[in-house]
Amino acid sequence: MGMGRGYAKKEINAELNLTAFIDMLSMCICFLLATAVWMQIGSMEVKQSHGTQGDAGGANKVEMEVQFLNAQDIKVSFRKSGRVIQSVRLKADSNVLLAEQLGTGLEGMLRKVVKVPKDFKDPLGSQVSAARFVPNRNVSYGEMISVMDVLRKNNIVNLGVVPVEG
Amino acid sequence: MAGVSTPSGGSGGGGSGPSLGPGSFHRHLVSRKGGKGRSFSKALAPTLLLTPMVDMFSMLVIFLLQAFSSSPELMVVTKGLMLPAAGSGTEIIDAPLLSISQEGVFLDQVKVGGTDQVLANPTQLLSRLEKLTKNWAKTHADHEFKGEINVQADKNLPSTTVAKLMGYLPSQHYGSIQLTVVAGGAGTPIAERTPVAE
Repeated sequence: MGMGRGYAKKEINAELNLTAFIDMLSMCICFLLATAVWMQIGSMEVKQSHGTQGDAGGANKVEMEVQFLNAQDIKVSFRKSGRVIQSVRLKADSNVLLAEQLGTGLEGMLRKVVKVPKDFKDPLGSQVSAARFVPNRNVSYGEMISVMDVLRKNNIVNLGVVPVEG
Repeated sequence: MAGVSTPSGGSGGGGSGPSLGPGSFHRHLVSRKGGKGRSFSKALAPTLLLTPMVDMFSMLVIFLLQAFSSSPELMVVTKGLMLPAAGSGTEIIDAPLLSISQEGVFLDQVKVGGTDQVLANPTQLLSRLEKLTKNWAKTHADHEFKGEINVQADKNLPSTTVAKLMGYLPSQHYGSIQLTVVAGGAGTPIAERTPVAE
């Protein structure tokens, strides 16, 4: 360049065809928004109590049984070494209220049945080895899930469903 | 889109004479005066700032692509099936899918039979599950079979129906059942509850 040779005057800045570019971006946004899955799907693990080791637990831990009498009425029993140590019946006007009642009362129920040292900091639900659900034909699957959800939120994760005859 | 001119597009319309360059029309609209010496307080044509618009579009596209590419495994929800809501759901896993709806029982989107029919005689369901297990063992020779299965059931079905169908699964070594739920949480009303059949 500096040797006397002329150089072609080329544009340094490349030109971008904005119209086509904006069209493409708009189409991309429309396509992505249209194909998006807005429903967030998750899963809840259940180990069947019949035929698997789902309800096997530690010797010092308690087992829990939730029996549905109807959608607004459940019987919660705690067992240790096969013996029922506490049984509570919960009733509410609706299934939603029942789930809320169980959620608020579960900590108190566990405090009565689980013996832990004073410096125990883990959630008491971790001391429940398994929770078994006894469904009822008058209770819908959605209502059973809402009660299961309460237990899982209280760190009771080993859940099982008894396959009773409908 | 095609008629949009850049606000800085005047560079192409320079010159001494009345040329009709790319930015001349835009300049004409922006600097237009009123008829009786009054000047318009505002330009007639609103200027569209292309640079931030293209920036915003690009950011949107990148965000949407990233959000969807990082989402977990997608699952097909059987038509007409209403999933229950739960707040403690975890990520779904890649496993066979058993759908239980009012219309029937489906295994990996293939109909096994009507719900009552499968409940009365689960032979076909069990044979299909056995076939699935054998196929899995063939294709995953180096992996241990975990016995995981996704179960999606209609929230209005009787809980005993779902429980009884779930009870058949351990016989085919499917002991870890993943119940599919919609992220919602406790307190979400179970809407449109239909009376459960006696």
